[in-house]
Amino acid sequence: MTFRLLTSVQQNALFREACPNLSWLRRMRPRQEAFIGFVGAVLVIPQAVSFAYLAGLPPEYGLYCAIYVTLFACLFGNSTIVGGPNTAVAMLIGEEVIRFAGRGSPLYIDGVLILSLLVGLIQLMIWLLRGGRYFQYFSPAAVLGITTGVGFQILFSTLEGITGVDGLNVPFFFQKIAILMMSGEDLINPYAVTVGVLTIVTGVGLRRLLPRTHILVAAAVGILAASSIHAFQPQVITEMEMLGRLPFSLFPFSTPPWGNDYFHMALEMIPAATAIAVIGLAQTMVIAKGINLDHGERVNLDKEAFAQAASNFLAPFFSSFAGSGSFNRTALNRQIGANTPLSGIFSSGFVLLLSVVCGAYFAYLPMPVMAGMLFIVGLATIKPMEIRRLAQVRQEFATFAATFVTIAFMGLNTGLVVALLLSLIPFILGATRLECKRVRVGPGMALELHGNLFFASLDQFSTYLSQAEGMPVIIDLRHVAYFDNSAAELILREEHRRRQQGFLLVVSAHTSEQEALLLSANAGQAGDLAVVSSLQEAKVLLKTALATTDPDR
Amino acid sequence: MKVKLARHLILSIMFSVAFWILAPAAWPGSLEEVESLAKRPFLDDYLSNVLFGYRLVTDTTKLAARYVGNRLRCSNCHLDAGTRAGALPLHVAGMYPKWRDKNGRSNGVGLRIRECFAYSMDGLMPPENAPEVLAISAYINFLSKGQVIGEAPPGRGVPIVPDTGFEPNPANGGEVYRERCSVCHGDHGDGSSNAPPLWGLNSYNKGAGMHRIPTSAGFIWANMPVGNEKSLSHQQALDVAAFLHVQLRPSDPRESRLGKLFEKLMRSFSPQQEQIPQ
Repeated sequence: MTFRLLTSVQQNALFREACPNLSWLRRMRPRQEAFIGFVGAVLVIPQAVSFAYLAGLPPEYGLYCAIYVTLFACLFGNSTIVGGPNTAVAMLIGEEVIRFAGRGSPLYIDGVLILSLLVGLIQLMIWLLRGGRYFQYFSPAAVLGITTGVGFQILFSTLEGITGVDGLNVPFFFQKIAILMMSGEDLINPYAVTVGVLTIVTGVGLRRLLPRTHILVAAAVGILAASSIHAFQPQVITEMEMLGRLPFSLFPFSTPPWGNDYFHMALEMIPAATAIAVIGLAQTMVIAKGINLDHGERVNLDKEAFAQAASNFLAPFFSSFAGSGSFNRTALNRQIGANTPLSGIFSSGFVLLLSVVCGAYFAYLPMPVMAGMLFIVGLATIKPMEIRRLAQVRQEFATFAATFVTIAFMGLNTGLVVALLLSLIPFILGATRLECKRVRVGPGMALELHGNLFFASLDQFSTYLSQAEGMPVIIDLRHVAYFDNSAAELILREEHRRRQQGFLLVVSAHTSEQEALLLSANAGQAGDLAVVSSLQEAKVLLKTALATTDPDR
Repeated sequence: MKVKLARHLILSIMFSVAFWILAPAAWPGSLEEVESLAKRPFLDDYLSNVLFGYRLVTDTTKLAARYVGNRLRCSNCHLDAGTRAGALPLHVAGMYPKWRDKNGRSNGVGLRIRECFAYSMDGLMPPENAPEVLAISAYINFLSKGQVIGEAPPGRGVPIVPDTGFEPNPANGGEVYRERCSVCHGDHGDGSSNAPPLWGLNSYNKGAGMHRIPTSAGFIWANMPVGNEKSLSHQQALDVAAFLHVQLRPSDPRESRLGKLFEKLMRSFSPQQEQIPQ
């Protein structure tokens, strides 16, 4: 028999997911999608630049990411999900690559390219193993904990830009506070703080009034404040950091470096790459799930997983870093009426166009304003209303709080693992619960088991057995969904023990699988366990056995 | 016992001789050494920054475009990528930090580089931890290998032109400029395919060190015209420096605020010209 990894049906399905599906060409409305793409581009440019800052890269890399990763994600996908630079992913990249080189140095950029390639590869592997659906195991409480934790970290990551203090790129918020408290007063740049705080106050104040444009208005106020400061104090004195002219090129081809030392670097990056791949895919999948719950559009989860993986895999060849689906941009995209991936393709085209045309005017954008905008974005990801609603259910709130506290104090990677575990614990507890209904059968007893009988529930099972000590027993497996080898062995041992005491143990197997497991264990230990396929047979067996073995009757 | 001692002695003498011969050749960081870095399969953080710093110095307009406002390169003044004596060589890491009267505070090498961006490159002042600044300071450290910390390295800065007894005269300088310099630098000082612009919006601003007459006179006397260095008399060099001093150029960012804005607008509307080679 030849070993086939995949059936031809599965191969066809994989092939269909991997090819760009252009069925949306028939239902597109180019003019409307172009307008939506333009709005998306205006929204993504400040985000792209500040996410590049989070990832420790020069700003143009964020724009490349907003162009090429978005383009590939939309080409390979078949939905209105907008991929591209993402806060959590960018922050994780920055936290990981800083171990190998200083921010923005050539080696650092090489490291980011390697990491993005690894993320793409791992996501492709997850897609091949059909892993996309497992991200549904993240409970809503854990997802809220993750997004709140990311928002919290964003707030503190902006401190460096707002205060103008170097060396604040330590991972944890308490370290940042300690640095600011111990040596801050000499280092804090008062001009930068003024501009940054003004930007934040404007943005937060106008959030209710102008829900879509408050960030841009805040940026305008910040730029105005910085310009007025620079009218009295030159930049040489204020030392306020400016974005600077972007050395933008249309086709920024790059290749991840190759060689022995880079390979070792890649090996060391694998744990972080796995975490980034998981959190990136998880966000895309959560968005896709949200769209599926919404009416009107069906999203193929596996196809979106492939789109994300492929775009991250291609990112390092276009000077981009890895990205993922974006909550806020997808929401806006759908809100103003997109219904094909064309809007995302238009958005990446408009980012390209705007960068070429307006690139020169980004030069005088002060960094405190960028940091302030990022602060407003971070604040928006913390949703007190949802947290309050969650607080009413104690277990969910505990999941949320544990996730959040872990992210704040131990980093995003650890927080992710904790979130996954906490989401799984209710399932695990439910799966290991084994209930037993005792029915008297003559002098003996039938144990009717409900639940899963496997290594984790054997403890409960032996308790039930001990309650039926000193009498013949029928074990009824009709309501057991999952039955494993260790359970079969336990039953066999028990049968052996009871036989020596002179009592019978009969198993009524329900499925052929259970029967096969029991019989193979039986054959292995050379026992003679009685396995029958129905309760009726078991009862008959029990009674005949009693009649023959017990001479008193 | 004696044989062992003798062997030790001979070995140690041999090592010291080898060190004596090899050390001076290995100490000063040379350009060949920097360029050979590019051929290595892997560079650690420091060496990759050294190579990046070297590329920034020789191709400033393209690679450091974030912070550069004009069309100059570092290597237009720091000749041979900062390795030629008497042409502001860059092997000066041992001289920093030091107090400078230009800004009245203690200057690390980082602040010194940032001020170059603000004045000589007439651009924005980058932050202390900008990758460009870190790379150039790594390059400076690499070139400074073998120099004594706190001691002025040989060929530092530019030669001091001695007092000739006459004031520098811009009018005479103009004559000399048209005769000797305009072939490469152009009649209007806007540079050519093989020489940088000397004044106008594409040159250094009034806060730059080159704007000081003693500095530019020393530089001109020691390094200009290319291929025929030190052919100008001290007085001619001073006159040319004075001539350059009175030309129109970007204003000092410390003094003129609205003027800077105006210049930036002018520059963004003027047609883009091709880059100037080294």
